[in-house]
Amino acid sequence: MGSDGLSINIFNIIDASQHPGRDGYVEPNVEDARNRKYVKVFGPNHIIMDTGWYQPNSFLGLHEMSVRWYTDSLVEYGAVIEYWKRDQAGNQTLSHKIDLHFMNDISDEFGNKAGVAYFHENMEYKIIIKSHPSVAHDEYVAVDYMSMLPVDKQKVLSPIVHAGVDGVPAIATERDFWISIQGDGSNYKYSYTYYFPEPIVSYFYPVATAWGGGDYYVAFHNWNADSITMWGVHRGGNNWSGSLTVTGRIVVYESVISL
Amino acid sequence: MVTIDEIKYNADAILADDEKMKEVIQDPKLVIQLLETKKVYNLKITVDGEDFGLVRSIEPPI
Repeated sequence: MGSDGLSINIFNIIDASQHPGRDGYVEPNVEDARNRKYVKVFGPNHIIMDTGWYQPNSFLGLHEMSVRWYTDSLVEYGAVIEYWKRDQAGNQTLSHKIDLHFMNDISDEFGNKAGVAYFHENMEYKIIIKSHPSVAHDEYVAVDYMSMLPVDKQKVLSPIVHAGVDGVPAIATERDFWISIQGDGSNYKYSYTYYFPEPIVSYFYPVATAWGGGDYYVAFHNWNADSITMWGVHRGGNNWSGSLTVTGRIVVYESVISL
Repeated sequence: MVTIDEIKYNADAILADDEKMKEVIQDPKLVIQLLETKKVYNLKITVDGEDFGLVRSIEPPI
């Protein structure tokens, strides 16, 4: 299969209707779809979109990938995206696969994230989107388009900070958190564990504030690869009860998919 | 047993009653209702001669 290359990707958008998969049909007159068309399938394991092989170096470097798609299925994951690569000797491999979780007003509005992916030199790539195996036979999955936002290479670091693995490529991202710590009157401090929403390779120390009229503070007390644990502490050491808001932010190094 | 409705309609009386407050502070839902009724986010109280903190969450801005 040939490549469409730069001519179609100059705006970093891959329209599913230009690359329908073998099981998909192009549905016209879809009001809010780009170009008023999307590609639709019913049931599980059907190929919705297949870009075919792009010539080597059509995409280079780091890209934030996202897919705008629709489904009436309520399963946790409605679609699967596969990144395939082929080297100069013609060996092709499935480089990476991600299950996509449908989020109302996000997946069908702005698209949801399908990884931060690094495309290497001198490799051909193709991208396939399928309906997830857990989709029922009478449920549909439709793909409007995929977008590829180039990411600043300067932000790709080999982290040398806390808990990092040397040489692992990662991208710095700021995460906000807004949580409530519950107290039942039995202690002056209570614990809460915040789990990072994306897999990460490392992180900087967070900053956080407790909203309790100045009578409370936050103390971090445990660090893990996927979470941090903090206490909500009464400043005077008095027992407390209720729910304490803690807001904070942390710089994390998210994993990058090396395709 | 202290109920949500009792707090809604008689918060000051419960605040003045040590026995009832001992019960309230063990249940974050009752504490939050008490603070909502009093229209405050944070309150310092004394129960059985011991200082005690009551606090409720704030809503994120839209």
